[in-house]
Amino acid sequence: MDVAAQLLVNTLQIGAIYVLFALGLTMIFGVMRIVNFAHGEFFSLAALLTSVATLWFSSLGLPTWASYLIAFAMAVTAVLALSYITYQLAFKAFLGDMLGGFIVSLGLVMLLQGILFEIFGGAPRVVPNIVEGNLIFFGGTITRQKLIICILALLITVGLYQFLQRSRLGLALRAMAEDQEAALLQGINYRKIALYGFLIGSGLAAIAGCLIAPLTSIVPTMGGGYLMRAFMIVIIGGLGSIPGAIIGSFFIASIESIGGYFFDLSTATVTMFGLIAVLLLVRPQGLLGHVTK
Amino acid sequence: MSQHAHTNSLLYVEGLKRKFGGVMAVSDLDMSVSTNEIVGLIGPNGAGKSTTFNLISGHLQPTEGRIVFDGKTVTGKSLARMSRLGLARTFQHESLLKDLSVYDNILVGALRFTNRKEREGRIFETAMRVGLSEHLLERAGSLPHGLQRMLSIAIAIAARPKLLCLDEPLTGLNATEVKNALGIIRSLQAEMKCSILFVEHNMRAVMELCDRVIVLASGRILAEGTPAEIGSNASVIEAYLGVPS
Amino acid sequence: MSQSNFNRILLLGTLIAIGYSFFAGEAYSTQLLIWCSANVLLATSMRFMMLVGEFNMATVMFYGIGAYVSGYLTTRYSAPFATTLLAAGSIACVIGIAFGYVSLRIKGAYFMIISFAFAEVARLLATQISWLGGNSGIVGIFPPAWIEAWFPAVTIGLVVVLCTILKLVEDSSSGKVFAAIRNNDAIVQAAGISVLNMKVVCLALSAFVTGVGGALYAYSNNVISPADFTFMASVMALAAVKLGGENDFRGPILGAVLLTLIGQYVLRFGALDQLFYGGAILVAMLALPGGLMGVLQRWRVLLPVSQPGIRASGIKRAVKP
Repeated sequence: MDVAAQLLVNTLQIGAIYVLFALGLTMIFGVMRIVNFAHGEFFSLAALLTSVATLWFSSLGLPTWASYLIAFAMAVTAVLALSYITYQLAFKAFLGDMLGGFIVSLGLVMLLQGILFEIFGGAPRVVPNIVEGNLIFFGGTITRQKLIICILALLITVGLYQFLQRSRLGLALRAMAEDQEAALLQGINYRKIALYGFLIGSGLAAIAGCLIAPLTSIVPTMGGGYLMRAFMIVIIGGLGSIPGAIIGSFFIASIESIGGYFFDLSTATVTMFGLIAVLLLVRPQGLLGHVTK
Repeated sequence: MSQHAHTNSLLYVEGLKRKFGGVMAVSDLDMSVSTNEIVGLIGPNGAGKSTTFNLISGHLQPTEGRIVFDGKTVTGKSLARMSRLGLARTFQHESLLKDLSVYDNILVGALRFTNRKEREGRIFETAMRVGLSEHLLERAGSLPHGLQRMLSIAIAIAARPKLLCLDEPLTGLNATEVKNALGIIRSLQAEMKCSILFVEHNMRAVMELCDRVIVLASGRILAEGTPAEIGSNASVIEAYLGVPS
Repeated sequence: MSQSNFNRILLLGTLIAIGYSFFAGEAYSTQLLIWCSANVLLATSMRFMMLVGEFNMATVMFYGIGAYVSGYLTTRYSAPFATTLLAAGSIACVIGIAFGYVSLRIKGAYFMIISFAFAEVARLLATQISWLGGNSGIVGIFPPAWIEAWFPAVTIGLVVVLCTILKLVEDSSSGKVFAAIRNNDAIVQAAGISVLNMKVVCLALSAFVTGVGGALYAYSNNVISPADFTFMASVMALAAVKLGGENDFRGPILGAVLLTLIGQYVLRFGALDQLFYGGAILVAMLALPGGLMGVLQRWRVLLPVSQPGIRASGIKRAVKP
């Protein structure tokens, strides 16, 4: 029972971050029909900036939690600025051109990876503990810090969901993702919505990066691993589907925590891929995806 | 029904039903097309014309019912299979291979003739019949709309089908183009000795061209008969004028 | 310049490359030519699938299958060279047929994803299978002694042959059907042609060619491991197609050569090589809409193709180009 509870808690905690990251990716695909390879780099950048800024502000005498919050804001802003620039310079020309956008994002990944390495170096960084202590949560142990961050992630997810359901922009985004032609016929300004979709998606990656920063050691390559998993999540859940991304995230998170506990990670990964391949044959649009071409 | 004696029918449909979700798009449809006949399928919007058309051509699977073509039971057979049996169809939207030349478009339709020379002859002949001989090298997507419609018909007749199914072939054509198209369709039927089933909204054209007209409403056959009979049929007139859009 | 002159230049360049590698032996430049030709093969094969409108991310899987088949047969059974090449292509082809029937019922982005998933599964399986060498792969794959001296020339020559096969198919009526499927597969179905069968044929042929290419890679590299066959290879092949021009057979050739050369050039930047490579790809994508072939045509360096590729004796006589 204890093991089960612990695994559940781990799953929740891992999954919460995956959700934000995967949501960003699926939104960008849903709205722009582009798979943004560089999504992981936005994530890494946010984590790196958070780490650097938190340490810097702390060294000025601010309490850790305050430094962290300021760093959080700075990192997200920086990533939003960067994503705006990349959209205008690179992606805008390839809206709707799936292959072209894909290759552009490939170039972007390599470029950003190199830049990140140059600026931040390859050595792992950490963020100092913001909150101390452990808790017993549903029978499993979790650090207070992890719990708070996990709750934050879930709150943001809920907030995003509400935004997408209620607001005009949210409605437009969902319309675009579901049936682009119909949305355009309704008069939705494609370019504007695509830009907003891209910014929100990248913003989510940034937030995910800021949230993961205190929980793990940060290296410029961390985005890549998350991206791989996010692809799996988005594939399972369905390209462009938001509930799908949420379900997929917790599914993958559970495989990782359970598989990693009982077997070794590589066997778990092979099995996971195999299962996904079979699932796709039966249901190519994923669990909740739309059956459009 | 006795008037659908299937001994000399090219196409015979019995008890056809198709459900979409909870809606019965087509129900209890019995109809037939004989050899050497031009049959028009008309009806108000939402009557089930496209559905019937797609069921017959193999694009959709019926929920219930039987389709017999050229003596063989073909219920549920695929589009490709129906085509190989001699039933060709056009499409209303996305009716061409846009990036290919006119020649290549007709070539795809004629690929069942494995003999190269025979195929080439067939392509030239088909192009001539529909008035596209001058345009063989042009990109299909660049053709004016009227010629595009003719091309989609050309693709369908390239393999000398027994039954040619035309899906709203006159949509978007001006009066001259319609006259031209009707002339071509009539001569095609006469020369190729095929039957034609077509869905159309252009009432005048239907009355002018068809040997027989079938009227659909709400997924069922409302009336059937010669153009003259249908033109004076009170329930048909009501169906068109009385049904709110 | 005219199309035929451009083609002559390309052909000449290829012959020079073969001749050069024949005489130059083990030089770095020969290695470069081999890398170029390997990438050309992958890119051309990738584009061949794009003829039916699909992005086949499993291309790298067939490459790996070919490499492993020939590697295994050579190291375990000392099988003859030509036999292993044939076996590599054939086994890849058979697997391609099976894979194709199962997955080509699905189109577009979803096929891309499925092919990616299958390729990854295959690669991960290879790391787990001990008699394939697991993570370390297979070592000591050498071409037979009688051919070893001229092996670079043989490799490039075979790549040319394989690409020619693909080109011939593209220009045949089957190729027309592929193009038709890409445009509108409903019409092809309505014409009585099984779209699935044709797509599988396309995949099978592409798999065969890629499989033989993989065998050549095994012999050139002498060592293969699962890490050589990640999805990045498929992505790079796609990049080569896009950069060279996806609408022309010569596009992937130019694109692959370009990417290989850039890849080698950026090594001089040391640790920053990835940065410059990515930057180069970005710049190339933005500066070359339609790829290199598109740019060449737009700048009138290359006159446009006057007819959309018709091959009919009657037409050529009747209409002057």
